[in-house]
Amino acid sequence: MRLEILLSAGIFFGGTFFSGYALRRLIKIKNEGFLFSITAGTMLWWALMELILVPMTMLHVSFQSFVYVYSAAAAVLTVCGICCWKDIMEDGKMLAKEWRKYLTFGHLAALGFIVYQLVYIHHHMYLEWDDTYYVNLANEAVYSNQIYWVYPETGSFPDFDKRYVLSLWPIFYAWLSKLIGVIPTIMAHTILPWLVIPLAYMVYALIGKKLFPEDSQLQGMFLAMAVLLHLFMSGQHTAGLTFLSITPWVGKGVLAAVLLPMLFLLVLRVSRKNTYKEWLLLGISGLGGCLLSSMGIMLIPVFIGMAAVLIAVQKRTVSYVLCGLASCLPCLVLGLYYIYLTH
Amino acid sequence: MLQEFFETAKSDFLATFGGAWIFPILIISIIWILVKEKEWSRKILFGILPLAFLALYWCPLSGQLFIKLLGEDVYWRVLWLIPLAAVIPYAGCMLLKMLTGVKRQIAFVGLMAVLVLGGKSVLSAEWFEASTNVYKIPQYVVDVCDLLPGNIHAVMSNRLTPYVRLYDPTITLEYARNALIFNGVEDVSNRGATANLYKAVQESEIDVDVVGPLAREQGCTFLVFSLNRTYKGNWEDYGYREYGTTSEFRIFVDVNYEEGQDTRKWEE
Repeated sequence: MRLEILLSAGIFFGGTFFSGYALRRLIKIKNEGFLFSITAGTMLWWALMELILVPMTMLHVSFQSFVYVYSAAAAVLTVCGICCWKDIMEDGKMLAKEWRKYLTFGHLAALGFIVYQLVYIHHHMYLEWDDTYYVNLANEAVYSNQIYWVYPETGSFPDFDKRYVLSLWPIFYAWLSKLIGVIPTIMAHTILPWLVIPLAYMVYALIGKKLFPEDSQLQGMFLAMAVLLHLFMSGQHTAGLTFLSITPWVGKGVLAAVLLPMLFLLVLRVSRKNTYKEWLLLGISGLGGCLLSSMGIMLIPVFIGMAAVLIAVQKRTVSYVLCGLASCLPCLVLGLYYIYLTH
Repeated sequence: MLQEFFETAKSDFLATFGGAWIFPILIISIIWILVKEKEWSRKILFGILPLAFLALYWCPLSGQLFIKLLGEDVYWRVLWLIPLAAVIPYAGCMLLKMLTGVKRQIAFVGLMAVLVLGGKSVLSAEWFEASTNVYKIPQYVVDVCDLLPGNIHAVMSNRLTPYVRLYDPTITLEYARNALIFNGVEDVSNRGATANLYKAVQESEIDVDVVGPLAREQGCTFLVFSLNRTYKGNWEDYGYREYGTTSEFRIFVDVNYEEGQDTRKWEE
């Protein structure tokens, strides 16, 4: 299983890393480092998947066709990112010069907690009852070659539950499973935690870096406390942070643990630099969030909208509200469509 | 209606923040940030924004709109909007920023201790159990599925239905969670064969004269029940024979089933 985990991590982090550079080149965001590229690339991958997957599902296209189309799109983005080698080298040089400053007590403590969390989760299991629907949705895609048109719990009759059609996150790991050659159940339960948990903490590392750019010690301490909050929460199933440990493969969990913190990071950036490229990143992340859970379609505009209004009041400029509205547009369109489908 | 909303909001709030000191820590952090932070944009994002989301959660107007759109069962998810893991560490770091050297490190350890002692470990036996297979499903499911061939249609014990297709998606099931709606229904005679079959196999003593014909009618090639079930009647009368057992389950097979046969069911 180690090989499969390494391969999945290689495809996911490698692909999103280069795709992140492609996106950064396009919107001219330089010198933000490797982690920013991975997180931005991930948002781009998820947004792209939402754009491709929703129409393909509605048109009853086979899963195999989706795998071809999405793999080609991700490959093109990755190749474009590789072409940005000058930007990559610049960030690489900066990291080579500064890596020692990240060897702080806080960073080491955070790393220790993260490794403990990953190893613990790797050797234990949490039985999630909803897997019988969501993980089997991915299994059904791989085995029956149909996206979402089979009732996944029994596999014995056609089904089209309108509630989830806009947020088919399981198809993302069905796609990864297809590339790696494992059943989606193993991808979800055993491999995905190795991708989602580090990704979530990358976002917090970036928030810490944004808050304390000159003090790497505080960056490490910020990260360590953020990790601890995920490990020593109330322990209630309903707490968003808990999802990262118990069900990191569930779309809702990824929404709570990765996407919403990512939006917070981008809002933090926007509050300093009110530029179109920052808002574009927010818009892409919002669209990517719609893939994760239908809950995201609603929570994302609320999050961005509330933050944009508060910043607009503080800065006394209406442009924040207008840009916030524009970045929520993909969610709003999908939201209206969701209401149309379900009511 | 208003009282109903506040009851939902209160129970969801307590379910999310109960059993730990996380909410008081959050409030103290927000107050600390509002008092000490000089930069207004940070004051807004780390202090006022979480308060605004709390207000949104408790406001009956927005709350009822959320409940209408999201559903009452999942109203607690609105609380995810509060960026807990950014606000609390930031407040902690603002405190640490005032210190240097060893004092800062000691204070950092102290703050980590507060978070650990104020919460409850998520990585514990309360939520997790040791995994025995890479699928991370109960071992008894793997044991049953290893005995069964693929591409079959089956009726299974309720303990198996949530997990069987996670191990082998080529197995189709006569029912799964969709049958739970029949649990509170006394008379399902007019609800179709699947409902009747589901109800019949819930009995501790299974009436083979009822289950046998229904299973055959529904094309179930394999039947899997807990070992503790007893049977009234003879399976052979309905064309089934015992196929095998695991430590927890007994498996029956249609006598006409041939090895490698595809008996999966598909209902339009």
